[in-house]
Amino acid sequence: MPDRLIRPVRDYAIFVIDTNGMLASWNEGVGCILGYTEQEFLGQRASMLFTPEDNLGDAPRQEMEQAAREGCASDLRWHLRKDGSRFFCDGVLTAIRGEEGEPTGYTKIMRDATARLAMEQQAAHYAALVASSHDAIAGVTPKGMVMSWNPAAERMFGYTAAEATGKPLSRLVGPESAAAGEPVVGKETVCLTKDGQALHVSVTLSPIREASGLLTGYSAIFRDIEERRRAEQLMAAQARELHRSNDELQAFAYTASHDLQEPIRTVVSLTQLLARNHSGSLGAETDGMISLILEAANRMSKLVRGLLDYSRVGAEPELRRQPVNLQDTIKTTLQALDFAIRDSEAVIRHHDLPTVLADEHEMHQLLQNLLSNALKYRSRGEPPRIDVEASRQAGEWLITIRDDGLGFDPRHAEHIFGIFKRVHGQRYPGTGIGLAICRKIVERHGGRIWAESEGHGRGAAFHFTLPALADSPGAESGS
Amino acid sequence: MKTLRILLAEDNPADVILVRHALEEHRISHELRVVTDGLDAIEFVASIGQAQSLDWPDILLLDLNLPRADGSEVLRAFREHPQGGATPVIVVTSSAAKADRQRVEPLGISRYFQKPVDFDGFMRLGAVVKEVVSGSHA
Repeated sequence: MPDRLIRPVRDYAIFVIDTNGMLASWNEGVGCILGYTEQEFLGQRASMLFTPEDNLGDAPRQEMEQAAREGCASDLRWHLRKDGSRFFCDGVLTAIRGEEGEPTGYTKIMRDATARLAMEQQAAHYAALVASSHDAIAGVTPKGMVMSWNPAAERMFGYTAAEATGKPLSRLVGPESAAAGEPVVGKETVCLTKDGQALHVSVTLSPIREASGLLTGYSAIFRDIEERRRAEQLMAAQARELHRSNDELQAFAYTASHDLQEPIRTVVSLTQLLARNHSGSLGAETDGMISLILEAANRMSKLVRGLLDYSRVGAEPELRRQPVNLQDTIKTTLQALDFAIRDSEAVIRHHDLPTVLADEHEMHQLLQNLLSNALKYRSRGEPPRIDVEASRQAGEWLITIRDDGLGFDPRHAEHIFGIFKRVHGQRYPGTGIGLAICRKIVERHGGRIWAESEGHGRGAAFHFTLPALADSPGAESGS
Repeated sequence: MKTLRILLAEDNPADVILVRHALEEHRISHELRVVTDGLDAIEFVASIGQAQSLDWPDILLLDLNLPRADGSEVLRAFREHPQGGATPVIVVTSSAAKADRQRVEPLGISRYFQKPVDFDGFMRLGAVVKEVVSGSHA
């Protein structure tokens, strides 16, 4: 090829390598692509253009041998520029033959393919992303014809890529999903599968434009939300059911305890009437039996009232939460318990108590139940000492009511919060409702309640937690 | 005091006994007419004035939880009767529910007496009847 034609070519490096592997000609392309001037290039070994790893594998010689054998050798490989940087090269080495066919040299044509490689790699990367996506991805023309259809689309809708390609997307999966021009993000809709099944999906449609702004199509991405919807529906159904059964239980407990009071009232009043009209004339044994009937009926009445109180906590589905200063609440509670406190000569100390977001009435009930227990189950002969204190712990307040009274067997620590559960004998009157109500109140407020005692006669500590107000001080309080 | 004509709507026979005792305890001379369900009470009220032998009561003692028709329906029928506008009515019930009270108050009641659990408490009903009757005559 005439040198004057080749020499000015800039897009290709075109040069001759002699049979010894020495560089024997140069063109502008060598300067542009490899960075060598003519002087720097001529007479050097062609192997300097190869990477060290290709030189180790003897690639320069193998290429020449292949060209000598087969006429030419083309390859795609990394080469080195003069500055040591690498470029990806699309090259072909062609043998120049003498009169008897023996190689007299070689021409090498090189083209920088680095940009193409990057594009190919990126395209392959995107293709792998689309292929491996769990979401169905379809490429459609501006008129809505399917151009591409990934494996997830095949699985989701049942059409193979071959079946889907070239068909209107709206006809495949339903008119709802047609690329109507406006982009949508995560729109929830219903599509149809090949076998006619309705499928809840979330659709994202995005226009694809060339750099010039020309619309070349849309991408349509479908996410199967059936499972999520089923889970949501199941959860909603469970919540409704729970709410309903809770309401029913509340209504039942309330009505039952109300209606149970009626016959008890009749038994009590008429037995008292009997006792009044016939006392003394029926004999001591009958009088005794009448007393027992009254005692039993009164006890029954208290149990039923306890049950009523228990069912009333939470009869209002929504807590009336407001900031409640427990310091004020405990003062009111102590006033309400004034008689029992004087009677037992109790010493009650309470340290700074926090303000919490709670139902005021229920907080009062909670403190009153716990304090009246501490007063009731006191050690005999000693004025009870009761301490109420609060400490802040990660997002909640821990309130402790500690007494030096009867305590309980630690094995009963959980048991005592059960409804109608009692661990002290008849000498201590009670219905076994108080602590059950406490637990209900605390749990309704998102807290926990538990009790500790080292054993009978060793005092008890009742602890409960309540969520702290966001802006209440974090420091521990005490006095 | 003249003999008081009392209409008692009460389905619990034990409470009828207690009401009688309460009236006697307070020495209220009375003539007690008892109806034991709501519909009977309404029919009885409607029949007064049609039969010559029946007189309009001086006071109605009304339980709320009655079979067949509840106390508020009885009270409404009582108040709608041409003679029923000014007659005192004492509700005698075991219900402490606010809703029950709110249902009957607009219809005009003199007292809301919640049945106490014990005998002595129930006897106070006699005093309440006396107060209401003397008040209505004053």
